[in-house]
Amino acid sequence: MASIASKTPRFVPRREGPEKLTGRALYVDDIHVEGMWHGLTIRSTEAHARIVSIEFDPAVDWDAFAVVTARDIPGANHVHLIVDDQPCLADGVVRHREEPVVLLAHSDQEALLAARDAVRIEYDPLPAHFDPEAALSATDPIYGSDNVFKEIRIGKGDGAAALARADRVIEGVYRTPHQEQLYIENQGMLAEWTAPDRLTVRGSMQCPYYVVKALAPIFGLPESHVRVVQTVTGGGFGGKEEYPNLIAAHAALLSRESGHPVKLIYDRMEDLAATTKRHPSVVRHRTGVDAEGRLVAMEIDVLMDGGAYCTLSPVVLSRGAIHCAGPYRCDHIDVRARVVATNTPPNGAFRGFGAPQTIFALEVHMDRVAEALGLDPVEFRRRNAVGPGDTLATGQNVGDHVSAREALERAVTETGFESRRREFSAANEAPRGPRPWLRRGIGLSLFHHGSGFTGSGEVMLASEAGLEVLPDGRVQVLSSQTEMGQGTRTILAQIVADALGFPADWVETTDPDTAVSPNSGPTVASRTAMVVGGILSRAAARLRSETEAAAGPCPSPEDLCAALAKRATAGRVVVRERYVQPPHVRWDDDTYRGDAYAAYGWSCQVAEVEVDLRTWETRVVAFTAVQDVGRVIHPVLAGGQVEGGVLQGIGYALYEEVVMEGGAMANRTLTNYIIPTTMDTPPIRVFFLEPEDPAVGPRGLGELPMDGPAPAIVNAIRHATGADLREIPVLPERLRAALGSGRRT
Amino acid sequence: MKQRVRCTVNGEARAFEAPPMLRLLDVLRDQLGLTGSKYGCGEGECGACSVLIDGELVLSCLVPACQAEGTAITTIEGLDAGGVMAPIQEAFLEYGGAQCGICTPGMVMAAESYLRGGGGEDVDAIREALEGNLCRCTGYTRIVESVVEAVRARAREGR
Amino acid sequence: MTLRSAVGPMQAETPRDLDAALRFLAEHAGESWIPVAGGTDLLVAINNGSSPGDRWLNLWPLRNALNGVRDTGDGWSVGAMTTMTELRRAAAEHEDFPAVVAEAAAVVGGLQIQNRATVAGNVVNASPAGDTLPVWAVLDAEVVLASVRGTRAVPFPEFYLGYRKLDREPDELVTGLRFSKPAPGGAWFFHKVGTRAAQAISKAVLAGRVRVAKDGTFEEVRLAAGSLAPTPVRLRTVEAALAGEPAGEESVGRALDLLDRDITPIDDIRSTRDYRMSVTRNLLAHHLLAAVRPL
Repeated sequence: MASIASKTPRFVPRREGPEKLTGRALYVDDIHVEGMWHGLTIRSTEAHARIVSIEFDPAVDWDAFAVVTARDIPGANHVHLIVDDQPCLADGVVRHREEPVVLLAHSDQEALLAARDAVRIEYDPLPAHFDPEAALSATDPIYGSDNVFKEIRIGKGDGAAALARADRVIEGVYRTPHQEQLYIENQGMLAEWTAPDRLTVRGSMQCPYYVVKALAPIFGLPESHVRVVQTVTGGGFGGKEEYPNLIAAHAALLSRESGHPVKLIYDRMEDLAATTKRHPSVVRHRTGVDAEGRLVAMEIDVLMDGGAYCTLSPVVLSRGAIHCAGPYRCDHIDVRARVVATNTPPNGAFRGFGAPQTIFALEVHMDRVAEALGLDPVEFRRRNAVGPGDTLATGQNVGDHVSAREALERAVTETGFESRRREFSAANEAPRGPRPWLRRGIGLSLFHHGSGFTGSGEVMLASEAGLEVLPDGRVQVLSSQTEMGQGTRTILAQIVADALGFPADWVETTDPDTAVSPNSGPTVASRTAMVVGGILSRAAARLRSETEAAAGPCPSPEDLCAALAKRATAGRVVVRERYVQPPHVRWDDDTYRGDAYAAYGWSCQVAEVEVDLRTWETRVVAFTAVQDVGRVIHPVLAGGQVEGGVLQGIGYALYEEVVMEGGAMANRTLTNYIIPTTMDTPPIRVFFLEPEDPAVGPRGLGELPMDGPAPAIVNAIRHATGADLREIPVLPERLRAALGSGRRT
Repeated sequence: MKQRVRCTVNGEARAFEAPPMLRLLDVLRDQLGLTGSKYGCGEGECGACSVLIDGELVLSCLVPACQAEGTAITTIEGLDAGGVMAPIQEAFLEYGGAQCGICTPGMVMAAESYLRGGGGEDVDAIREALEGNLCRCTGYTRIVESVVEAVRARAREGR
Repeated sequence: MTLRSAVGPMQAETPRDLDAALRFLAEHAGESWIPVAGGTDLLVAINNGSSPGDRWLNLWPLRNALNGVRDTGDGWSVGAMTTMTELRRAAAEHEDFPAVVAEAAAVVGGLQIQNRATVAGNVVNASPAGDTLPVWAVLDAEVVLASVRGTRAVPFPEFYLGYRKLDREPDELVTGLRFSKPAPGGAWFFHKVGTRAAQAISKAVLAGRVRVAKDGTFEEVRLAAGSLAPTPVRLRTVEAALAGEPAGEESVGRALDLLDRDITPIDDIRSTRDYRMSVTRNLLAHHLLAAVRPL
């Protein structure tokens, strides 16, 4: 089993590793506060309805409880995000099942259970829509005039005309489902009022400042009166990007009402049923090719299901739309992308953020296009992948640092793709040997993923980060980046240490507390190493230059440390820097043209599968991920990100189905929402293509590995069985239907 | 009606009063101050609550308090003696076996149980030993490598 | 909060031995005392808010008197509170203990579950998807029940009267299973199709025993299935259709055409009727023919 040796010069132990390993790390539910009450949420059982009445059984002593409904909200009843349409608590109408209506708190959990059963909500049902395609033509929209949260058009050349001219046009429609982030630590918050107008919230989250900005208007407070502290967070994957705003508000409302600190923790069933999921998608491709097997036109329609409220749908759509034509050369691209409202729990951020959906469609479609041309999947991509100087769908020139072809070739070499494909094809034709009911297949996907926020997003974030000198001359990182397992604390320390010439343990990091941590932006979009690391590198450089300007040159780390310690005796030494957009990045939000991202990661992934024709079960027997993510700061952490992302992609491809019934998740248990165990995990080989130029910094890594497994696996299953699959997950039931249900022995 | 239960936890004699059908997990976390074992699902699927009872690896979310009577329980807090991490914990740290850490206490207990049972370097056997522990972050790869390293460390130290 | 059931009012009685347990059940008949052993099904129900009751008879401390696998000469006796782990060990220690028992025990959840899940628990929980249940059916096991009135034995799978309905009086406890040693020779199989490779609920779980006579006919076929009917079932129509037939694809195909007389799979949250039917047919055909032409 190949692995990246931990004994490399870039290895430093995970900062918070020892606490996590010894069970001493404090996640929010591990924290006990004196006088703490417990919170509970009562949720809608209707997908769309007027709330006629909320009745509290008089047999219960309600004075002993904290009870909160919409009318108890002191400020604005909305959860601030992009469009302020999501109520904090439903007021008069519910638009999805599981929508929060009533909050209760009490010191005794069993009293809460009894109280919940004593609240009766009467609903007057309204028509509910669950299907995004139907939502587009609904005569009773639940959002705006047409149920469309956002529409994006991307145009390059003249797609329609080029399609009409093309030698051949290949069409296809592809569907992806909801997917649950399935962080093993359920959502939770602990809220406390330290004064009538001073709120402190601690909890599991990715973006402390998002929570600040959501809480302030709900309570009519200035942001400076809202303190948000991230507790050790047991996984996020985007599921704790925006949802924490809502649960934090609920905990804070209950705390205010009760006069006690309130801890609001979801159990697994509630977390599965009520919190955000990956947006389902329907993607239609019409692709024109010429006689030489080159892409000449791509017309792509992307439709995503946003659920009942807008949350982050416009940005998820944006990333999905920008990536939907992939790392391919094509002069004529026409993209129309829409995300619509349905009466289902709002969908939100999940690793990849729109790209896994559109890259699934693209890479499965490209294999079908290749087949129609009589080309194998590798040759097709050799002819069409972007190279230096080519432009992407938004007109962005990829410049010199583009590795689509290199990643493809490396993956092909490492996996013996071409010979294995021939070998499996031959074996599948004439099955022999001890297990003739098995079919082997090998498939790949080629893709890219933009690092950081789209276009002007980073400029709008205006992130700030810095360093503070400690009394002994070591430094502390100041940022609001959150550690949730991906290694934030360790790699930010390494980046600063490298910039200062320090050993890594001379740089301290902490979990963010908005009382002291500057707003370095959310921990999303694979931006931490590249964007915030970049800001911190400049802060470190300035700290050194300012220190040397006063103290003279500091050639050794000890010199610099001593000089810093000396400065710190005279007073607080803090250096802050802000995000600076690289000069070459030009983007137009209105036309969606220009440099969508400052940098990209490039990847090729290969899946080898075994399909049991007796049971239609697919097993991934080997997986290889090749990626260029710029400079790799910490090979063990980086490798871990790839392996984890790949396995989530394998889950997306084969196991994870959110069964929706009546507009809510029916399989809301880990027994019935299936994520891979150790026994479902193949050997995963990871190869980083690192740039030779030392000036090239890190690129986004966290999400890229999630984009490729599903299409690679579907392509492999197609190779193994001929099944023309256009939807995931490829459950055995679906593969059986795709192959025809005949007997197989 | 609460019952009084006497047991040993991490080598220490402990006594507590609890409703007999309260989960052992809740007793550990809320009464005994041992929050290392985690609630992940309450269904026996994720393994985050794993502890050893009389040397056997079990799910503390499925053990009622009354069944802890007279037993010797080991939780994650009981592995690092005197602040020195056990070999399995050291291996996890070196090989990247923990990311967000929420599955880690249960995963380490399962790995420790495997090691105490004399488990070897066979990757398939290790995977089977950990099949009752879900991890969403790591893809399991480095967890398995950590266990292999711990097996080797034990062999090096002649244990 | 993660609590879903009010455990405060729940009572638990811990009898000091089996006799005390039986007397307690007899004296408190009508009060719905639920025997709990390892708790790997019952605690899940308490945790998800669907507890079957408030009164619990805690049998776990009695397990050393009620567990173990014993060779009785012409048969085997399996104590009620033998855990899945102990079953696996027994199969490893006793060469002629049917390996299919261990194969089933090995897929009842992960190791944590196997250390606590008991034979009787799996039997009495009566989930149609119970992984060990088709194996006991194929072994023609008997369920041994005890009460203050004595003991009796009920053949498997007639112990199941309907979906989660048992031939068990409220004052009876299952004390074990027993089965005769099967005649030597022949092939056994156990095949579980789950939602993933480990820690999975079965979509279909099959156990079987096939003996082919020297003249090439099916001499003895026993087939049992779980997750394909409201209870675990023996596939008696298919068995009868194979008995005495030449062992080959044609007779297997004809017999399996009768499969829908023995199983009634449904669409549910995990799978579909059509898939279950097809996969069962394919796997039975595979294993029946594998017995004929061992690979």
